[in-house]
Amino acid sequence: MKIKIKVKNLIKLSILTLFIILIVLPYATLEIAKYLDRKGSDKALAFYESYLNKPVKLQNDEALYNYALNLAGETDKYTIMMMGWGGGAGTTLDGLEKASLALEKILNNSSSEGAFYSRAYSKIMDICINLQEPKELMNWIEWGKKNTDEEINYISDLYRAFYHYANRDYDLANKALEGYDITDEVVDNRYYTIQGEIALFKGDFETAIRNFELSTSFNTSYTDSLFGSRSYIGRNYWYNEYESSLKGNYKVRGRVEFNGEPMPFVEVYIQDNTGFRTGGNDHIAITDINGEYETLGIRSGTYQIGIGLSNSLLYDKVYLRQNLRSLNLNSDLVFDYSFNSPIKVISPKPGTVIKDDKFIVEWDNVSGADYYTVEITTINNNATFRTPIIDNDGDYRIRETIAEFDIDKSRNNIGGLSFDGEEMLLLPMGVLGNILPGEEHPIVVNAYDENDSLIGSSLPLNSLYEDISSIVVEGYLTQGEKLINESKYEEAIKYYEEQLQKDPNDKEALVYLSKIYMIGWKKGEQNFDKAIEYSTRYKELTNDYNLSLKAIGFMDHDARINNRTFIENLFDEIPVNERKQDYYYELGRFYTSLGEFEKSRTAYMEYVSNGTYIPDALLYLNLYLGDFDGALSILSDYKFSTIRMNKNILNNSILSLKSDNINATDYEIFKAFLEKILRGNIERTEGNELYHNTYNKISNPELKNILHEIRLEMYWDMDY
Amino acid sequence: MNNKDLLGKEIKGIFEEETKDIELSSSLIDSIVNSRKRTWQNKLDDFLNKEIEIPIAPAIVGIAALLAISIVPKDILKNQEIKVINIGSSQVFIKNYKDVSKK
Repeated sequence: MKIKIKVKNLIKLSILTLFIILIVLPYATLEIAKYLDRKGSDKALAFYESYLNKPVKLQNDEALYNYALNLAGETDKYTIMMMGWGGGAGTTLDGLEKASLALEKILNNSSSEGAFYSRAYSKIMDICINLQEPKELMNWIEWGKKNTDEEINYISDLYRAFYHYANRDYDLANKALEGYDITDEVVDNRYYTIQGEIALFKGDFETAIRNFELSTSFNTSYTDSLFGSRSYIGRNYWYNEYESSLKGNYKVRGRVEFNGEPMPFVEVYIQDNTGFRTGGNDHIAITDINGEYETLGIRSGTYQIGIGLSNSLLYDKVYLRQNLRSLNLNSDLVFDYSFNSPIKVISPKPGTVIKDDKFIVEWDNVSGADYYTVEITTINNNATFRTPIIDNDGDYRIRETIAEFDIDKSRNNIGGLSFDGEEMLLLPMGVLGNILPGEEHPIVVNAYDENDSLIGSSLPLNSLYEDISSIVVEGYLTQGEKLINESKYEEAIKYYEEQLQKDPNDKEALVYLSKIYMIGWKKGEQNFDKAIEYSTRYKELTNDYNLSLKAIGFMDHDARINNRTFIENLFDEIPVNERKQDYYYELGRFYTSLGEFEKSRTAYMEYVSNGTYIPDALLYLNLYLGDFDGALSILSDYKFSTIRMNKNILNNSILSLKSDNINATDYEIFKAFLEKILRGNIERTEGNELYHNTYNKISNPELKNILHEIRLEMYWDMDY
Repeated sequence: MNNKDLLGKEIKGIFEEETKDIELSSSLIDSIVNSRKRTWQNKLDDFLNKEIEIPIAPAIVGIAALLAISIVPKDILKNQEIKVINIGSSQVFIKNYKDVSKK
């Protein structure tokens, strides 16, 4: 079908179309971009880029600014605390750099002015702070000072004040804000916030809270950020929490560094040791241009301390976590944070296919390393489990920079244990082990010094999966393994029992049945008789004691008593040269169940001599046996770390007990308490009741202190 | 008074009187119009008023395609799904996520 149209009308139509394409559509593109941005869609960026590529851009500054904001993302920090880590806004270095370039276009455009101009100026300096670029920040501060725009001058002064505040040059920070007061139109919440921060860290708390209150008189959303962080929003609320829960005289100082180089503008956080944050991720310090920090004054106590930085900085950084689970603050302390570049794994390359039953891992040497561990990762339903694998010599700790591993031995391990639902259904990985045929397993190499401190890792805090060393073991799950993988345990049990009737020496059947019964495939389904039967048969076939040893590991006190003969025989059977750490740990637990505490202590000490940590049980055993010097020695050992127990309080109490005449009845009651803890399996309510009963019967104040600290460590005081 | 003007007016009056009932045929008018000398404005008008035929469907499709190309970004269909998994304390980004555990 055709239509007749005059040429002049066709021309009018064409001009209209051109107008729509050049003017109307770009406007629509930008509005679509903004709409998608508000909805959090990842398509918004494509529409912003499309607009910015158009020949006619009447809202160029607005588009560039919003584009930059989208690329830069939120300012939430990735947080590293002593017992946990994570969070952050998922920003990338590439995103921030592109955002910076977009903002620079606005600032370098001589025709730019107005709201987006000043916002772009603030934002580009926020990015400098997040990227830890003090020189670049100062360049922009100086650029703003030379600008003829009054608002730009003001923002320049604000960030100059921030720069000096971060460097703890509070007089210079105040000087940068001279000449502004409440009557100035340009003055906004940022002015009062930075004035409040300066006063806070100078110790002028009245001025600080007054300025924090004034800052709230401006409309600020909780999603906003100031000086590159959300930490400055709502400081008045946080200050009240700080004053009531934290404020004191002790300071923590330290340095945050990467490969020895300073990391400026890193936020430092503190939280009390209940596991709940005090007022959120509000900072109590910020690192200066030398990477150094000094916190506000904190009162005596046990805390978690941590830092926050942008996700964009994590791709090349390994955090060298210390063997500390909490900080006992009773004086000024020093606590440093160190990051390193990752260890290079030479082989295997990502996705290496393993066709036989062994594979080799090789990596670069790390200066100062005493030993390395190699961990295999199993990914199952978005959960990941990382377990160290033993080399062919049976060691987790590897002294060289190359090691060979046996896949079958690794398969016999218990994988990551995880249970689902009310029935506590075991997730398959626990039974199938940590290396499965047909699946890809990332490999991580860690390096430790002679104090068992982590000094390197091949896995940085952020990484791309395609860059990580990994193996794929050729093969397929067997029929029985498929049943386990689908959590059809009853069918798997039936299948393997039938297999054993056909072939009593079927190792696969023996291993999996043993594991299913020792772990308990769901609540109430542990069966140690069967676990022992199958693991013993496996041991007789292969001379491999590990499965039987693992079965003991799953036994509680009652099960250990009920299977005493089996356990004793197994411990005697294992040759001395094959008695590794697991052996001595289980031996320690076994003797505790038998009430032979002296032997238990000896076994634990053997465990500790090759181990990286001292279990709480050893402390309790020393106290039970009245060996106060032994207990004090443990408290001072770096391998003994506590979560909520205050080591100083324990130390002082035990020292006092050494010189006191302790009431015999008190000490018997205390020992009965320790005996119950050593036997394990105490639920929170039962534990709290045990604590109160014991505490009320004892008169000795030092024993009461120790009881109190044990209660905290066990979390018996918590209501959840 | 000018004698020439009076004469001109009289001749004009006689001419109008004599020709007032005379009509030209349309073919004669067309012949006169077509054979006159054409200016560029005449040519332009002719061109602008010329009618052309346009097929509707292709025209609509063409305009729609032009609008779509103008407004829809070219890589909008590029769907790079990125998934994040945690391996220990590390966040691992998987681009173009497939079930990486299965090979």
